[in-house]
Amino acid sequence: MRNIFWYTLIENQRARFTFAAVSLILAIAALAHYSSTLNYNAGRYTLTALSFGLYFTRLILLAYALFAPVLGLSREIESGTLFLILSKPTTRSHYLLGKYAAFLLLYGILTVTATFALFFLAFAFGDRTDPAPLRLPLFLAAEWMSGAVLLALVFLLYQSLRAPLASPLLGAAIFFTSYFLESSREGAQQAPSAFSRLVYSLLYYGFPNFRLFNVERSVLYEAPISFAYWSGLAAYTLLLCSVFLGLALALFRRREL
Amino acid sequence: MNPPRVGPAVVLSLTALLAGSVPLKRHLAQSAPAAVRETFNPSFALQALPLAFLNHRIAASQWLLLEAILYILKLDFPHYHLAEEDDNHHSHAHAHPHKPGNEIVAWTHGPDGRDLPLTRDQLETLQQRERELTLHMDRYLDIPYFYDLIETAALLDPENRFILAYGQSWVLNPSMAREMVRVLDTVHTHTGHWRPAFDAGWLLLFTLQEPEMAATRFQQALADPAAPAFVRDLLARTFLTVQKYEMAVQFLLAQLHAATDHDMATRLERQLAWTMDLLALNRAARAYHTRHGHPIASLEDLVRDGLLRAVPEDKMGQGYAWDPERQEVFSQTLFNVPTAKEESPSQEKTIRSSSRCR
Repeated sequence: MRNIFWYTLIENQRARFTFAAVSLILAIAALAHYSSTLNYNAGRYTLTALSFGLYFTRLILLAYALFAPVLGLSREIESGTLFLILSKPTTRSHYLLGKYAAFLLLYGILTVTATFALFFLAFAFGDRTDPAPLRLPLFLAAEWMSGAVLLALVFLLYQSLRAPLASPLLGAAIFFTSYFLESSREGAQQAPSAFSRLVYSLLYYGFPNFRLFNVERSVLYEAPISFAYWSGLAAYTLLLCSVFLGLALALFRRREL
Repeated sequence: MNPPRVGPAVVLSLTALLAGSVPLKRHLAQSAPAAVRETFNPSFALQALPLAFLNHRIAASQWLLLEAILYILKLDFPHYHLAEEDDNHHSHAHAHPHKPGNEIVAWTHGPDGRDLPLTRDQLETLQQRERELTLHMDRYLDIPYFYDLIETAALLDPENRFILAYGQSWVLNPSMAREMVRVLDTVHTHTGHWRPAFDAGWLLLFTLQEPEMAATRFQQALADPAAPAFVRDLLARTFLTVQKYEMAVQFLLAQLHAATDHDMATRLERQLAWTMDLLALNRAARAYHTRHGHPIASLEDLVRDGLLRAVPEDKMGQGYAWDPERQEVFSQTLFNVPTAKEESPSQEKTIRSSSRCR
């Protein structure tokens, strides 16, 4: 598994996915700096830079998590590298988990890069008395957890659909749909018929909710996030990752290559 | 080892997902910060693309603001600045600077970004277009749409004062002022902050000349404990403008009772005394009218008739005077002294007599 992990990192470096993502993140930091210096953001440098930076960083990280693993996996299958790897004394489970661990690490590196770039901007150009940049590690933690779930979901979708383009698109659809889930919570409590309440409840509890990981506004406006919430979020991440990866492994082990 | 069967694995996973999700999501819903618990607002999503992606209010707000700015820039409003005296001597760009009617009277921006000189005729054409756009902007733009953008942008990012200020900077005619008041009212309802209500009151008082409506907005602004002292002053003055002297006195008395700061109490006492003087003067003027069947010609009539012992000293304005048009006594300030052109001879006489009195 360790070899697969290192091999994936090297492959990723060769494909320049991570390099492209880092470049984009730095470009976003520059854009955040520029937009924060516009006259209509005067006096709010830190808030605007962090707000713009975090927003676009999330978009880049989302694109990375959706596309990089799928492109990497499909390329290995198409080029036949996978057959070579699996002919060595390694199991399919190790292969998939090694890949997952490598992409999770890369996702983390990107998140740290973005956080560091935004912290640097806020420190260099913003109001140094503003404590918002010091809360950026909270964003990092939530984003990493979100990335772990998203990567597991993409692995599962790729194993179930086996279509390189459909999996990221469906992943994106699930991601954005989950932002509306809070409305279904209301439906689960207030819908007129028992059947609709059941449908809403299944939707609310069964659908992965990425909205719960979006703590940007709390980071920016100092809304306190309780320890209970963090522990709940960590448990939720573990649950989703185990379920998605478990299913992905089951599908991958039965897959005809 | 045989690979697992997919069907049971799926059933098992989904059961585990639901069984774990129910308590976890309940726990998360209870402990989540308000920003995470907030229900997604689809009406914002339809207007602002970034919000549709990640419920990102600031980015969405700036997106809408940019849309509003680009929309209003479509008008191509004329830009020019008047020329200095030296411009005609130093300009080499102009062919005959000294020829009558051909002098440089202003400058505008050319298509290449350079300054272009304008003759008197050209300036008049530009100013004519400016007047047309100012007065009839609704012929060229969908004004409610522009203010809808401003409203949504301001609601998404209430801390950004530029958005409302930008909307107000484009208030060029009464219909735009009304739209802006609508926006400010909505923002005040959502935020409870004094500033939008105060700005709405300001527009109603000075642009739309509706002091009674302005007074309600200033009262709303005062409901916010963070409202500064000048809101209270402006409200008292607005009451005076609408001749609600009794109301102004009551309002100031209530403020005086609530005042904890010594300076504020002194200031309120001064303002109260001044308002009570105006109240007494106006009551006396009404009594004079009832007694004689015609209004006073000057404030001295009140003294001569025994209704007042003397005309009081105006401690906040520049002297009390009688306004025959509005049939009321008012305090002259820099803002309400009629200009020489507008002054009627009788009014001029009244003001002078009042000054003599002092």
